[in-house]
Amino acid sequence: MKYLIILAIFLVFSSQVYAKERLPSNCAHLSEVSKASFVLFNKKEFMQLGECLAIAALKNQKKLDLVRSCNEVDEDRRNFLGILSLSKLESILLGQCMGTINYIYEHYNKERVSNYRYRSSNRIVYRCNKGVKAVDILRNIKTEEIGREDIRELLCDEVYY
Amino acid sequence: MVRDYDSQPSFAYEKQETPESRTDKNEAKPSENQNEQPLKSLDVSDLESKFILKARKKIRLFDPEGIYQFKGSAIPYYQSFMHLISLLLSLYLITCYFALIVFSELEHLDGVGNTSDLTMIDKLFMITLAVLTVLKLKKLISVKVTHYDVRYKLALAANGFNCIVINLVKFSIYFLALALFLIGLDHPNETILGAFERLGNGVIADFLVFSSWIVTSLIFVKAFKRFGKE
Repeated sequence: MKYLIILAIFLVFSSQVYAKERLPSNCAHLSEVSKASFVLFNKKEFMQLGECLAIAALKNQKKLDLVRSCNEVDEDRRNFLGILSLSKLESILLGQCMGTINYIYEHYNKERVSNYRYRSSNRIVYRCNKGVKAVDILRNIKTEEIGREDIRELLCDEVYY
Repeated sequence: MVRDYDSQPSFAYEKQETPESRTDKNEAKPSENQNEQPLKSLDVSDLESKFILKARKKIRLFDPEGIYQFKGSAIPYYQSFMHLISLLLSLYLITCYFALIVFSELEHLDGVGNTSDLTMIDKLFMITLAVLTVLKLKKLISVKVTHYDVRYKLALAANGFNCIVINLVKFSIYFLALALFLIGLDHPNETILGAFERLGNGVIADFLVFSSWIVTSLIFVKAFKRFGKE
């Protein structure tokens, strides 16, 4: 009987991470988190991991599937079962969407536009969206995977100050 | 209390039956005379006693309730053999079913590796079902019920697990039909594949998963109802 219980618990919990992969170097401090399996206690850490992964991907000019990630944010907001119906994968994706939006905001907001078309005038800056509005913009894009420049074009407007 | 039920059913008034007693059939329910009913209070016609004898010999594969009701009669060895085979088969199918749930939820994520999409609800229900199964099996093994204990327990276990398999199959067909119907109402132009994708994600999907877990546990509880009962 003992062995049966152990086998059952093993089957349920052994499913978390099989192929171990290297985290991006600036997320190395989160490698313990990536092994954890309880969303109930680790939601915040999983989201941090997601943010870190998103930022690393953006810095390395990798493309992200933001439609899926940001749909998770929306789902999390509307779900009445709350954290009980949140999986590890979903919380990491959630973090990815938030991380992307925050990265773009901090990187480009109020920065001068460095485009050859506007070289004559340096009075043009980016004004970026944040929060719910940004999530909704990213949810409604048509392409599956998207890189940093495209995200900036979607999230940020160029305005005179 | 252990009684020997294996002899021919002997009903006290079987010979002196009157036509009046034959008419009220609803008094003589075939299963009731197996348990606590005193024998002399029951009038059973020939046809009814034949019916009972036939019911005793019937092979049961998906009917734990029937096994429990006819627990007194010996189960033939060829039936026990079929019970054993079907028990192994359904245990295999149930294990596959849960393994499929666990492994199909794995998805690859850059930098992290395969990550599980199982939610807290999934895990809680799986653990509950595993513990329930183990506890019920323990009870079934430890409580002695009849003379033919091993065969009876084997039959009950086989019927219970077969019942789970057949009910899960039935339920998944109904569930898929209902879920696809709901999705079809919301998105009339969706393809079948797209609908299946929607089933995996979203608020409605989470609710459907939750309700399907509740039904699954009800199926388990129903199948294990007679385990360990005297």
